[in-house]
Amino acid sequence: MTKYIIQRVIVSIPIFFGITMIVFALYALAPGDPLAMLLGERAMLEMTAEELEAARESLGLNDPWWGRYISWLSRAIRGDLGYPLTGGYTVMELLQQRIGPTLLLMATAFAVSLLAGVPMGIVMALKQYSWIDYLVTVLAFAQLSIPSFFLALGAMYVFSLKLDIFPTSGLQTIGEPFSLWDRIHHLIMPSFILAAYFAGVWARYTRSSMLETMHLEFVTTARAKGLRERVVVVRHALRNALLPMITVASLSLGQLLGGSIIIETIFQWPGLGMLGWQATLNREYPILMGIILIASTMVLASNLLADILYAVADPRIRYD
Amino acid sequence: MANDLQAEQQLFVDTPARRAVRRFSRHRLAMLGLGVLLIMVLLAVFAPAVAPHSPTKQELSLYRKPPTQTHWLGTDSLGRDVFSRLIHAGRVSLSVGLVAVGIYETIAILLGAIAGYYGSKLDWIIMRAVDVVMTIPTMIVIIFLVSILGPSMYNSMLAIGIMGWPEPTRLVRGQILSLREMDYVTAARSLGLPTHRIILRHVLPGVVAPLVVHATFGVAGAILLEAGLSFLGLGVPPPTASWGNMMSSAQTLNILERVPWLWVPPGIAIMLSVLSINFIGDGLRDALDPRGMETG
Amino acid sequence: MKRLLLAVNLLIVAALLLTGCAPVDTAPAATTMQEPPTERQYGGTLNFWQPSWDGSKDWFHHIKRDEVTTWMWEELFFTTTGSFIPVLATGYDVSEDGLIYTVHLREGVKFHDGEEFTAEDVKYSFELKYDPGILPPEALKAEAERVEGLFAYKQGEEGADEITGIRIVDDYTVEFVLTERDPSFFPGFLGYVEHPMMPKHVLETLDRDELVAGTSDYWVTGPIGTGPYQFVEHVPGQYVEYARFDDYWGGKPGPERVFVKFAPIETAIIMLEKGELDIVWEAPPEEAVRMMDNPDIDVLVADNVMGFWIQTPNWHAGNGLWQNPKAKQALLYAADRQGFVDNVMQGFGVVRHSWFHGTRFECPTLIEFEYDLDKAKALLDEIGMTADKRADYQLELTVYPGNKMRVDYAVMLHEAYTQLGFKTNVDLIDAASWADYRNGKGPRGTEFDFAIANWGPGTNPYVLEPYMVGTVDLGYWPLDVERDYHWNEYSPNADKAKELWANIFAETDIEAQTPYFQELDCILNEEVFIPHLIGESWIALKSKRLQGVDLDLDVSVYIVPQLVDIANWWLWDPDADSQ
Repeated sequence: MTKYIIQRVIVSIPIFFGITMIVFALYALAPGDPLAMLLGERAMLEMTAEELEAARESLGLNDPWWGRYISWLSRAIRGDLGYPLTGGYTVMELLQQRIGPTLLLMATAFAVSLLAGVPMGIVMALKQYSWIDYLVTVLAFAQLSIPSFFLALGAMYVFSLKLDIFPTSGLQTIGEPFSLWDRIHHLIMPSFILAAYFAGVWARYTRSSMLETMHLEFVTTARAKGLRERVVVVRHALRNALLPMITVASLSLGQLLGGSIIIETIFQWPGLGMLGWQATLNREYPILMGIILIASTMVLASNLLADILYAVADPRIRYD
Repeated sequence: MANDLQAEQQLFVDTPARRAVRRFSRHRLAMLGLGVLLIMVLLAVFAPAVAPHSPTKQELSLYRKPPTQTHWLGTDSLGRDVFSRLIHAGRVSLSVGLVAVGIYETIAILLGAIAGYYGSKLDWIIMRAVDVVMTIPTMIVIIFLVSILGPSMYNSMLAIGIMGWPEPTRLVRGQILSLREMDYVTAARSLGLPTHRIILRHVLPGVVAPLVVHATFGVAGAILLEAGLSFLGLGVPPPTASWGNMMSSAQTLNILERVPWLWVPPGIAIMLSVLSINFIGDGLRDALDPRGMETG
Repeated sequence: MKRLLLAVNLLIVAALLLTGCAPVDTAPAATTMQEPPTERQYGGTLNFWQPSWDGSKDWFHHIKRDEVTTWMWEELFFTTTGSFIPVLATGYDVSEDGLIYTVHLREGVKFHDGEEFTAEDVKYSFELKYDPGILPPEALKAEAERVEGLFAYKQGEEGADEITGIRIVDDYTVEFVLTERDPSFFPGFLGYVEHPMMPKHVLETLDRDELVAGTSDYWVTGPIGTGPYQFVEHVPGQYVEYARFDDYWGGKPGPERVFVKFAPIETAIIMLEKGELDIVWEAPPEEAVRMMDNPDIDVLVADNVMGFWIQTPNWHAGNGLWQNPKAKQALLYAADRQGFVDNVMQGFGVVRHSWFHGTRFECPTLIEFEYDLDKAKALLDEIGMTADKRADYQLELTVYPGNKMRVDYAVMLHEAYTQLGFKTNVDLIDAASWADYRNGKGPRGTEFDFAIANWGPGTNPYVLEPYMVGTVDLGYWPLDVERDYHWNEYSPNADKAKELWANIFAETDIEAQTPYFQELDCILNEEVFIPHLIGESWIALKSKRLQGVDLDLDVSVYIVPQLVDIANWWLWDPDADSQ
């Protein structure tokens, strides 16, 4: 077991470096002066041409690409991601400001999508080809096929404006002290809409996974032993069907972040997604790079965790 | 009647292909999806012939006219015929989906085949690359790429295509790993056939089925991605119509509330196409799965 | 559980369907039937909308008056067409030779910490704004050359540790010494929004480098000014909070608190309808149309404030085709501008034939280029751009995609030029790439004919267009005859225009300048200096509870009209606070 975990951690290391290389490649593709990204244009203005050249040299910007990559990487690992082009906070400070709300939104949406999707999938599998299977299939696919901006705007129009159940946007009621209920109240619409897409994915995944396991030998055996269908489903089929979900779910975190771009923007949820979209609009490449780097690292870490959990849950797994 | 049919079927030899077709045709939603998609594809392919009007012709006096006999789905702000735009947009949206998926499935077949068949170091490198790209938030990188390259139909295809390959690569590799040990492949190898020939003639055909299923779902995903990019102003640029940009140009409350014929048709088109493609994918998966039970 | 989840899903789908077919039920609020009181009322929370992003941009260290900072910072004057609104100054005198501007400051103005505002603060504020360490738009240098010693100071020259051209006469009098006579000095410098007054007594105790670099905590935790509201808090990505400043020189303002809330426009409209916002400014016409039917919302319109034009950044495109006024006239005839105003701007706009539309400076004998496709073709034929040549010409239109109306205009022109027989292409490029294009450094060089943009200078020749500040030596930039890529490089009218401009400069009196402006306008009209002028209305949507809003049309668009009188705003029924 320990050996597996160690192996799994070791294999994450080259992946992490791969991520940084891709981010660096994007950075190299992005227009603009890399010196400005590192120092901030403000600082550059105060410097003479010789000083600038010296700075370029000392920061290694005149080095070949691998040299630049290594110096960028060593700064990035220490948490120095440079300045946005418009100055102000450093990229790291901005990410720190925004990561909390994003994690809250993503975690909630993730939980909601699982809670909605998995039971739907189970029902679909148990009643395969019944009207409920068809109905939920159509619903699940319908959720998949509605662009999230439409869902978001539509939900805000109906639930916030017409029915007046939820506040329109933001993290909490402005001008009032923090309260847990208020935060939840603001969280419901964006997280449910973000969850809608994934609920459909989980439902379909659970359905096919369940169908597969229910035809496996041990389930048939259990059934043959005369166990009640309920016990068969819960004890045997479900457990085995859901195990692979751990990995699939952890991989979806990146997609969840992608989905949060539009949701956070419309609901004025001050997280990484909103920041990423604003950075795109303003061509703030340093911020975008920071977001990609931090998000990928998060996904990498969660994959690692998922794999370890999986191994704990299913001891048959060995690293190959 | 049903008995006659069954009897008739049993007269034929039951090949896997035939079995698949039969299974697929029994999947009601898939058949429905196939029918709907077929209509949409035909409309898109023959759009210039079918469209009652030009999709770009502007008639400013026809400002947002509701559906009539001459303009079946009404007209937009510039007096363009919504129905004609809708079916022309279908060409763009469907081809973005197809081409983007074509790009990444091709990459996937190449990389997956190399990784799966040759194994060892190449396999390790390719699989780590897969891990890397799977870890990076796809949407953000696609946005980044499109904003560097500039929004256009081809750049959308390219950006979506570049980011989609890891999953099918894994699929192809896994499939090939298991096929490699099959008797007929071992036999081919022992006959001394060149490797590329073995891959092309004997291994790849076994990969096709799961890949087709994956690609089907992929097309639906790519259509949705294009719609998302359009919302962010990075999709197919006007005046070319795509379902995504038709919808995103309608995202004001005034149009949402009062001019439904500007957004309901492209919305339904996106929904129907994505639904049908997904149903077809579902049906294909059931039909092509060699372990699949003939249940229901 | 399962059923509940299913219900949730159904609800989401139902919600979607509802958006399409829900009847418009505008529930009348209790207050709508009454007439508002005429007296200013005190109290309540005012909710103001702010669309722009605030990711890395910390609003406050940019030392500029904008929609977010205008609540607490003020400058000396507001400029209007040929005149001004006094703010922290009460007036100014100009010496005989036009080189010395003596500014008289308002007495009894207090900063938020109770200290009095004096001439020291004026000099300090200009020196802070032009500190060599502050990132200016590069062009600020040209602007800085107007005042004696300012450029040397800005450059950080040896020994230039103050701006010698700004002299403190006494506590309430400041002199500005110019390097040369400049009638645009007042509107473009003294009365300009980019120069808010800062408290010297606070700032001089802080680390100058940090202050200038924007890293000082001062900008985040508690910047102060003389405005009607004082800074309370800035929560990035959410809001800025202000509290009423009771000692404001213009009298105690109405609302007790102000929240500047950040939101995208789609969300803002819903927030407004729901009462979470009191005013949404620069609203899209599309939303204004809808709000007109809402009894709880007032639609305020300032006509013809914004410009809207296509310009030719590269006069070399098409082998000099666009240097010929007739070619530009043809393109103007081909565009149905009135149709655009009606269909896309929803009527909130006007087709302009003059730069100075509706003002005293307008050319009395304007040629009106009405939509006429045949005339356009005839003109092109006349200059040898015949149908077969047009069919070979690849006409590239570029448009910055941020604005739907602008994109719609590109789509309209695409069709119009296609009908003229050109092979037309629309290219969506962002602002950064557009600047690259202009300088020939774009990914595709300067391979395009027209760029569609709509940052307009309104109709006021006295107001500097902020984005162009400093790239302009002479106030109103379209009239700038010095720059080599302008129309006058190729025009036989160039010398005439230059002479007219010199005449304008020789006068300080608006009456005397008027005929020269008119003549210039006639030349611009004939040259089609920049085709496709359309005046865009500036729309504000406000709740009924917000009172005292007055849109001053004389003010340039970039001093957004509403900002002139926020101190006079008050809330009707302040006790019934909304969310």
